[in-house]
Amino acid sequence: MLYDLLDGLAMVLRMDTVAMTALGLVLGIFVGSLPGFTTVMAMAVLLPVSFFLDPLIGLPFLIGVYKGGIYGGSIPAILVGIPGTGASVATTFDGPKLTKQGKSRKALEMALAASVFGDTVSSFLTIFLIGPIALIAVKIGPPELVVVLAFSMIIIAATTGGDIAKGVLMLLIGMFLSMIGQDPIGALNRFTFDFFAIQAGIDLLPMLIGLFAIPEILLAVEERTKLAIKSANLRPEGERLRWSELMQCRRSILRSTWLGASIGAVPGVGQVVAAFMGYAAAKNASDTPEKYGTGELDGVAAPEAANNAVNGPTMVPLLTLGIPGDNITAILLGALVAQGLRPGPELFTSQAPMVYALLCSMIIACILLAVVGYLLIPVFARVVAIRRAFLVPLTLVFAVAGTYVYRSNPLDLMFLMGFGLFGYVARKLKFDVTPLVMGFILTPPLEYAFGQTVLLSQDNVTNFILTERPVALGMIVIIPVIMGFVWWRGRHQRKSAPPA
Amino acid sequence: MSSHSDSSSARSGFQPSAHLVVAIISALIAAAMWLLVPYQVDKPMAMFGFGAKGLDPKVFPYLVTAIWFFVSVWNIVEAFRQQEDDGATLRGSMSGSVIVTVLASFAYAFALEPLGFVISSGLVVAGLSIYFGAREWLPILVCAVGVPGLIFFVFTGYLHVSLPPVPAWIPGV
Repeated sequence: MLYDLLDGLAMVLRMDTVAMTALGLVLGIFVGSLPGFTTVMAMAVLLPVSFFLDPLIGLPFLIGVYKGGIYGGSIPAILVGIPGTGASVATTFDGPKLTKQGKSRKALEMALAASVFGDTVSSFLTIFLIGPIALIAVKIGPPELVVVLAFSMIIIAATTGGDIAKGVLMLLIGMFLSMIGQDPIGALNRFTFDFFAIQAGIDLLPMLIGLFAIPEILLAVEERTKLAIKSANLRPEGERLRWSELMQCRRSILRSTWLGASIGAVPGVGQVVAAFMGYAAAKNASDTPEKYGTGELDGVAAPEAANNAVNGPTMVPLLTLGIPGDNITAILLGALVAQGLRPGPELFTSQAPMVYALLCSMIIACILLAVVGYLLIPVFARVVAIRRAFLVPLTLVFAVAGTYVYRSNPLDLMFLMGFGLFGYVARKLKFDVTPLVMGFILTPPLEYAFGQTVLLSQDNVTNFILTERPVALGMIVIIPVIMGFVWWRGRHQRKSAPPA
Repeated sequence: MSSHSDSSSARSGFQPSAHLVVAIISALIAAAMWLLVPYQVDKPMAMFGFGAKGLDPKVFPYLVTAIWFFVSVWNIVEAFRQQEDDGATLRGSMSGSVIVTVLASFAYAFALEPLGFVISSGLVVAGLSIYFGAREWLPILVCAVGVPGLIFFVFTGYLHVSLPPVPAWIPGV
């Protein structure tokens, strides 16, 4: 493992990798700073760029966009009280109050310091824990994989959108859409209705860009009049952050890092919940909880450390089992697959240095985030007020160009627009599209593993599991109990978190 | 006053929520797909008179469509139970700007190959920018010509992938 880690580190210590990671960070912070434009949209739109680059340039570029976007959301949250991304909603409780007190520079630097600390520590934890987890994952056979995949899908559907019935319905629609084309076992045609263009199935890329970018464009069109921002607020003011102030917040930052890292390892929970939990935990632990919401630096540090600490551990289920925990890791999965890297236990046995190289690039991205963020805070603060009249059509151009270049197939553009419209209507009717994407991605490996299980069991699955697969049996019994507990605890803690 | 409003709501009759409509359509599609499984799933080839062993290719489609149907029914029950007016959110937000953006997006997707990337992108960027209130000609020019040109250069020159360069109907292209 240590040799693989050192090999991986050597693979990413290249100027072009570092330069593209920095570019990704700049683009990510740029998009994150724009109220109404999310990290997911930035990653979906920039995903095709990574396809045509070396894996060790394209994937760190996307990781840069990811980390930059999550941090960038805190800039408008602090300056104008509008969260750039969902992950920074909890930052609006204290951030704008600090701006009103003339301490916006301090707040922005605290957000940066907490983000970098949370992200770096969680990335180191990921690097040192992923190896042992992968060793267990390698021993997982088809029956166990069926259980893990099925329960991952259920937990994603149950935790992402709020309404479980709607989440499970979207999951099933995604599962059905993935069956269109050829089945993964016998390559037999299914649900093609003799339409030649879909015999190879629906491609993931138009779906990802359509569901995550087009609805954001339409929502930005809707909200462009609501978000008129006065440019007078957009300048970091006041003194710089002092070391003593950072040290005063160390307990909250450490607590939030631990919380965020734990949440990141659970599929489907994500940054928003982590930020609220980090904030609530800091408030509960404080001797002066009444000061929270009035302009407390701790109130900025806690959610920012928590939401960035989620970033590293979300890679654990993705890289060890091929299970994306949220829509951002679903996009990263698309990038990995397009580069010929199929995440899962085999990836660790066949290309361990490459996996560690990706994880090391996360650490590099964290270090670069500190530098880029510190130097460019005043620039990104001005980005908040860029006019949507230009951003909306330019984002559309990026989405269309990115979709077209992948296969030069005009039908992909129709899928892009179709999924875009579907995603927009779904968002308006409060149907979360994340379970649909998860269903679409995870169904082929689920069906394949299910087919292998049936073959191994010689058509008697129940007897096979009961007599020969004690681990699978144990998982069937234990996982629902753990999931139920996590889900119940998450709901309980979300209810106790302060309102947005 | 109260009795008047009660009677008017009674006269207006049952208003189905968007959730209910979606759930009913979903249940109908799921049922149709379940019925279509025998016709829409190819049969495995029999080699030397022996069929393939293992999972029947129809099992998984039957399983997924059946669960999809039951989950749709669950959603119908939930929609009746909650009775929220969620359709109003959609109707309220369907502003002229959204409809224009959707139509422009579809037109852009259709025009990409016939007009080429730079021209079609320039038209959609300039058109939508002006529609959304931009009036200064220099930023419009930079966004409508400069940015699509730069994207075209990055994709074709740096990443070596193809975008439709010029209008396809020009002779000799």
